[in-house]
Amino acid sequence: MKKILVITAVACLMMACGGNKNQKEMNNISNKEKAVALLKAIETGDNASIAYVNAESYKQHNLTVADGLDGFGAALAGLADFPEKARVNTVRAFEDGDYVVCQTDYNFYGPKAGFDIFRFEDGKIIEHWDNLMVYNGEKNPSGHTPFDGTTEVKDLDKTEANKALVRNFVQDVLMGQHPENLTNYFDGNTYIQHNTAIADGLDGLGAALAAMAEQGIKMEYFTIHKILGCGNFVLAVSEGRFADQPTSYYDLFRVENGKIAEHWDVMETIAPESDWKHQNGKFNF
Amino acid sequence: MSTQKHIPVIKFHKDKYGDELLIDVVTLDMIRASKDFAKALRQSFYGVMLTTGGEGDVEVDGEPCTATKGLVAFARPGDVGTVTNDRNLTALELIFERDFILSFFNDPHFLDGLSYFSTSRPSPYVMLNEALYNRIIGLYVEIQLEVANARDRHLLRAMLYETLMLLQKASPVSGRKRESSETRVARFCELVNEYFLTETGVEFYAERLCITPNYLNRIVRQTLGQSTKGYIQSRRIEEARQLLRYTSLPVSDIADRLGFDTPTYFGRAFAQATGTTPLQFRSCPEK
Repeated sequence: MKKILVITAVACLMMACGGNKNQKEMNNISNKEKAVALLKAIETGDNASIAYVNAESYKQHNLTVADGLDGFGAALAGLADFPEKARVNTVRAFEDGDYVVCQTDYNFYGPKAGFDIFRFEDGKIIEHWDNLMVYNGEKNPSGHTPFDGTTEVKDLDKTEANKALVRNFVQDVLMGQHPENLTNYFDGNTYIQHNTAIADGLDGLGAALAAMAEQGIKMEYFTIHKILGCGNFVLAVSEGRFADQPTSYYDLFRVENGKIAEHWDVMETIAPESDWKHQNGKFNF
Repeated sequence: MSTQKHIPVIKFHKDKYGDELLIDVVTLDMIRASKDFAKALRQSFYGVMLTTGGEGDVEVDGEPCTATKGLVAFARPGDVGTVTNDRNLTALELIFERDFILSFFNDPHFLDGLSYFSTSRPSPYVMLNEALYNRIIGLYVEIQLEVANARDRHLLRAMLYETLMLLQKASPVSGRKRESSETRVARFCELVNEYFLTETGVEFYAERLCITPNYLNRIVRQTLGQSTKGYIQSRRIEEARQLLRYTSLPVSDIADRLGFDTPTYFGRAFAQATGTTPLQFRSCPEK
């Protein structure tokens, strides 16, 4: 059964060039819906949504997947040999300009938590970035998963202010430029944490920092590559090192009344250059 | 009863971050894990332990208290701390060496003047309200982040100073000192009964009780009206009286059995305590 689904998915890639969705239908569907549908196709093998990808130009930034639509097809084809069925449940998705951000509960070569970013041009996806981590289903010390929590998008008029707040927070606190400003970013100890190892609150953060220091693990943020947001949700894409490994950080924050209220994240060790399937880079927004 | 044979002293890990740094924030688990979960520990530095969750019985310098979220326990260098009956207790401890802050201040008694570090402190505990808890935990994390990043000594000192000053605003929580010192003295008397033949030093009993010799001296004097050493000595003399009265052991054997270095020394101590020599007492015990 699984094999058939994957074959269907690959077949649909071949058909995608033909563009079996008419232009009118394409225009009525939002970029967000297209991105979510494309991801869901990994699970269902639904060939129709492949049409949302620009087949001539699809720039891949997942370093271990080959460039172009055929690279995506090859990644899907590999699923046939994987013993677990693919599962794709996108739990949050938002648009910011030409970009769509999706946060997804995956089984894609094993259970994973992931963020995907798609860039659209003329209604079609032309570029893709992602960050994936293995997630075994355990709850964190405060009982949260990397997916649960608030999903309601609001404060659409505050998108820019919230993006600026998150950019400053990453610079001041995560990049360590002005740690003394930490408490300005929070409403007291209120901070719902979805990181798999950290408990809620600044006290949870403090315990995690102490544990890392004790083990000699450094979490370093060097560069912010992209800030994308929609109302109360803001995603920061950053690069740094975690435990001396080059690391890509995707941090999603929920902002409430000008304070950071909730956090989800995915950290991925950046694959060594010898494993790269293309030279598009992990970031290059 | 504790099976601990001594009170481990935890030293400041000054070069944890490479160059010397005399301030840090650590978790309770680390402090305890570092000495094989010994029940009683002595730190050679200042510690401000902020309880962040769970519950447990803590003692600082012999004063017990139930720790719940918001309770802060203060330890000066040399104070003995214990955590027992731990119900998922979590805490962060801000630790620093005296020099870290004093090298900056003209006042060498700055730390001793703080209400919770002074020798006459009402209690080694304060309880934070929510607003103060949030500020203090924020400062702890700011200190951690600064330690993990630039390690600017001046900023760290400023954060420590702010933390210490804010903590003076919190309400002291009295430990259960009176009740506990009586219990402790009772345990001390039991211990003396058990060990006086071989152990005559105050240190031994203080360690067994997980408190400092000074604190033991204080509560023994308060409760029994005599010094710890005097009490131990009187227990030995009491035993000597029993042996003189009910056995025919030579005085030198009794002296030896009771751990006196020489029969002469025993004779002198016995005379001092009873007003009579061992031989006179044996011949006429009713006196």
